Amino acid sequence: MRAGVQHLTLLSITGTTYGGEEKNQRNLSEQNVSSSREKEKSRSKGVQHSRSIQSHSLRPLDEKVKEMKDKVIRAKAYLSFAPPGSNSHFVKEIKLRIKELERAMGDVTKDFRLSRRAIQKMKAMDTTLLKASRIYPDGSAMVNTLRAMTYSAEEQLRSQRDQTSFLIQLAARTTPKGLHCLSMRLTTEYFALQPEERELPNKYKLQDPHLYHFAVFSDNVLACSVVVNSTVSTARELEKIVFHIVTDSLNLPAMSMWFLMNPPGKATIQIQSIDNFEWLSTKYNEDQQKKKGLDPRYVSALNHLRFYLPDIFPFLNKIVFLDHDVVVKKDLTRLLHINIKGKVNGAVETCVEGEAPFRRMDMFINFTDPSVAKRFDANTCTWAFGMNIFDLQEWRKRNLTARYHKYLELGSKRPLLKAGSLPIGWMTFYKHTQALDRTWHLVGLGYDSGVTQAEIEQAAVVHYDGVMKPWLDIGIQKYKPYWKKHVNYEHPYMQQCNLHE
Amino acid sequence: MKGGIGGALPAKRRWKGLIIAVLGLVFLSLLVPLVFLLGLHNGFHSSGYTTTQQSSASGGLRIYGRHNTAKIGNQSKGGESTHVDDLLSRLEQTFPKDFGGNTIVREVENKTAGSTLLDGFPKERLGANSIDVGEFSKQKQSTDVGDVTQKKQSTDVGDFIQRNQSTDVGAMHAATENVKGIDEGEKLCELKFGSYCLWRRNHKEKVNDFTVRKMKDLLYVARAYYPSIAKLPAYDKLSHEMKQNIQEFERVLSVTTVDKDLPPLMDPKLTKMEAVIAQAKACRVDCSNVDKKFRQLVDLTEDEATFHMRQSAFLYQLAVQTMPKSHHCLSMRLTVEYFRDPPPDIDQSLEERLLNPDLHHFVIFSSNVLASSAVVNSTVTHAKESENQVFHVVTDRQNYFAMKLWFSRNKYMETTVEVLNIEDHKLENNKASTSIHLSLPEEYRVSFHKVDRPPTTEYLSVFSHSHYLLPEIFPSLKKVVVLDDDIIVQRDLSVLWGINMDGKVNGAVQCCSVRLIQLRKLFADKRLDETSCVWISGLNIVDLARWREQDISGRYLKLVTEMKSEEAVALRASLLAFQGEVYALDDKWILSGLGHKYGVHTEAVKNARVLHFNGNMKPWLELGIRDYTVFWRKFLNQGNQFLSDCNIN
Repeated sequence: MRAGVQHLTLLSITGTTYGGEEKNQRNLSEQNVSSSREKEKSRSKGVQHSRSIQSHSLRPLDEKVKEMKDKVIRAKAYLSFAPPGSNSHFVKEIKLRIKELERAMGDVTKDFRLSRRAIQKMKAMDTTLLKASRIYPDGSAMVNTLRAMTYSAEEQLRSQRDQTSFLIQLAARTTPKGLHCLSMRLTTEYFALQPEERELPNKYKLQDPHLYHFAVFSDNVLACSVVVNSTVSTARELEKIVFHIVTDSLNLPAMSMWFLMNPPGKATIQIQSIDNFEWLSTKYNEDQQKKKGLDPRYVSALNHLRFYLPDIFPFLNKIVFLDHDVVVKKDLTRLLHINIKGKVNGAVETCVEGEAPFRRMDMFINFTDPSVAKRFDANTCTWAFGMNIFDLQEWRKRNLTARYHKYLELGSKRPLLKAGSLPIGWMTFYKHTQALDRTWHLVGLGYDSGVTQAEIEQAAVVHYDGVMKPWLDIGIQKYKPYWKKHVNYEHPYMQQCNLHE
Repeated sequence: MKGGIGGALPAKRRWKGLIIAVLGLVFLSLLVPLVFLLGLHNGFHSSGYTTTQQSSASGGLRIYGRHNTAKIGNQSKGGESTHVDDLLSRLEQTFPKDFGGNTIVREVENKTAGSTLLDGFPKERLGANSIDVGEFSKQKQSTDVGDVTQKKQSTDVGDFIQRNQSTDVGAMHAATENVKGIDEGEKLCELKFGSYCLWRRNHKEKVNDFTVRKMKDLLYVARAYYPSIAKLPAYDKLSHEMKQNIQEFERVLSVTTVDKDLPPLMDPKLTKMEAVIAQAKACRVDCSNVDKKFRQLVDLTEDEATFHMRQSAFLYQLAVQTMPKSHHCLSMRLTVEYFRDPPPDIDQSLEERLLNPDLHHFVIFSSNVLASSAVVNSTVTHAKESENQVFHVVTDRQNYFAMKLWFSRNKYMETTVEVLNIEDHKLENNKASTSIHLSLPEEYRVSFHKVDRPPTTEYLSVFSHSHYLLPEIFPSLKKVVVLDDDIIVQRDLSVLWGINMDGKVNGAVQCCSVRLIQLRKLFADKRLDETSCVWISGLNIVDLARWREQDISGRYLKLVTEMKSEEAVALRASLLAFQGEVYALDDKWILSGLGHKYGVHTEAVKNARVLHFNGNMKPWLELGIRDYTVFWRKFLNQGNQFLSDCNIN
């Protein structure tokens, strides 16, 4: 399972590497993705043409170019027939031909771009290959050599892939220097303020259940500012909108400073720190420290905080929950009027016919555990976190936070869950989730370079789930503009921190 | 050539002319085979990909656009171009088109966050600049530099893949026992991707998952034979069996990549497959069809591997240049703590110590709390008399509060540590309007490539602009030792103050694998003592009194303003400013290169007096070289709450 997921991430970074390039380049690279993707698929499909078909349909190489590459490989195979260290005339000749042809071909992928020199070199290569086939007429030896070459190429690929995935994980654990600088800067400025200047306005609105409330949990100033900016830029009744940002004590000053300097128009904003939620330890016996230790990701505490929404907002009845890696593209106030039919959670479903099966619940939850198997239907469709509408009254009534605790406990004793807070969410809100129209929330912009522009246009919220966050260098280039659009690059601190578009 | 001239000479000197003519002919006849030889030489030994060669042999200085690799993310200009390609194309350009001769590829890594320094200095472009000094290489690109990069971005990816194949040839030949191929492949890789390749070589996971690999191999063989067998009506049964086996293997391999995920009882299946293959091989099939299949496979697989290598190279660059989340956390944590509970001001007696020229003063320019802490900690740990030592950590506003808090909460024996914010510093001759920015020691990657020899790479660290403020920042001091923040001290350093520097300003370790003569292209018309070695920063004894006398800072400033090209300003200006003012410290003082050289013996590291982690792979990064990072980690404050809060351990 794990390998599967990793592989997926691997493939999708392709988008990062090439997104937004010149057209023919992109083609080539996408071919690369699809070729590897196809490869995986084809393995489970028919045998007949698997590889050869790919090479025909997926690679943009023209006949002649392909022929040349093929000849180079043949020549290399013949080269290996020579005894090691040999420097005979023939070895020299074949080496020279390989080099010549490779050079002459250069970066060409289309026949018509081949130079006359390349064609000449190919002819020379033909002669040499003919000679070689006379010297080494043994067909099965050739097959064996090629097999060895395939094998070592496969090895190469394997180790290269491992390295890439290792490095991607590493990159995901970094903070861009610009973001670091911004946070540091805001923090020091915040403390330069007088205590009374640190207050955000409109406090009276925070607990008014008749307004539109949005919750965002984040430790990233830039991400938060994009969520707020994008929501504000599309919202109809701004004065009725209230943002509730929850961060940690580390980021509270920076976050507050940012929104003091950049208030969201007529909308109201509140910033709290998870470290000030005393009820977490008194009411739920939550040992923050312990939890941090469990999950290697530092943000884990904030990740799990979503299961305490009714406690964080005791006076509210409904709230829209947004992840910090989303961009809002359409007015969300409508969302609060949607009837979720007595359910607790309104979310878009993520299991699509014909889509990668890992999204199905049974891939994340260990159904071999009897306590799980008898309670859940493994075929239940999963849904996405990131943009949810929660009915807090129903939530309280059904006491789902207690349920969450139960599963959390269960999970710590047995290997029940495979990744993060998502599966436990599926269990907690099992049978309490109402499917929303898919256009409300589009996922995948942080790992899947196959999300189309048309889909993005339609979506009310786009979600950069995955490791390739738009604020990281590894973010998928072609999706970054939707995010960058809402970054306030003109702000002097942004400029001082070298944060540019 | 001379023969021709000889013929036209006046009669009485004709005989002389004849001799010259003959000599000329002899010379020419010598030249012909020589040219031929050189041609062959090029053809066989250099693995460069010569494109059209220009007739002019002017090596000259080639500059390839400037990019701040440290800020890849923030500096994209056109929305169209991606950073990756940006970076990759840049890397590609550092790759000389032809290195039949002796080529030097230089790449500059700027550790500075960005900035200009003193009033009147030309704005230094943020950037890791790549320079290529080609000595005998004939270069394809005669184009002006600034836009090379831009143009390059629109070239085909194929280019790269195509070329790169040869890199893979190396590895492939390994399988076919052609050892020479490897060297060439690795050499190419290093030219193109720099230290990534070193890392790559040393970061290969152990080969395991034998069953999966075996299965793949068998699958490929079966696939290769299958079409030929399927065509033969007589072998219906065999082809059916093959198909089944192939499908079975494909199914398993589509979900499994490691042995431990394999379904149980694979062995009989393997045996069955082997048997089927043996049968297929026994049939008379056309070899050419089978090996065609294999060739397609080789091609596809290589392409994909190359593709992943490009990604890795990019990600590696990213990883060595961005900040680990844990470091971000620590700085934030310390800053918040500073304001929550501000440290008390330094008391009077300590204040005096800071100015007392009779004590041993160390200066560290740093923006990295952990790094500077490790330097202080390691120095103090090995000091005989720590009460004689005073440390001055010079940082910028962004890091000041974190540093200040860290050094006030952590005590290092009897020593005194002062944290200075360089931006607060008021300079006498500085106009009030301009602020000073911190610039850290700069590191320049220099590598020499010679035919038939593995490339040698050095990371030269040199003083940058901030260092030239030393005499002004510490007006009362006469002698200081300047330490880079990527070093670890393993011996008592007090001896350094006893060294007689013969009236020289700067006591530095030299890097004699790089001589000034090899860098002369950088200096254009400047006069140089070409035989002298390059000195590096890391551990420098600085005689501030002599510095003031000789007005080194003035010299430096003047040099900087005079420089026409903005390439490697700090390197050039520093080397020139200190010409004749460097006292060579014994090599034994410092062990360099621990941020890029693999394979240094543990004993050597253990016994070195000072370790210098110059290079990309700094010990505080996850990419740091494991064998040496242990010597750095020793000096992290174990059990510190701030560190454990941020998962640094």
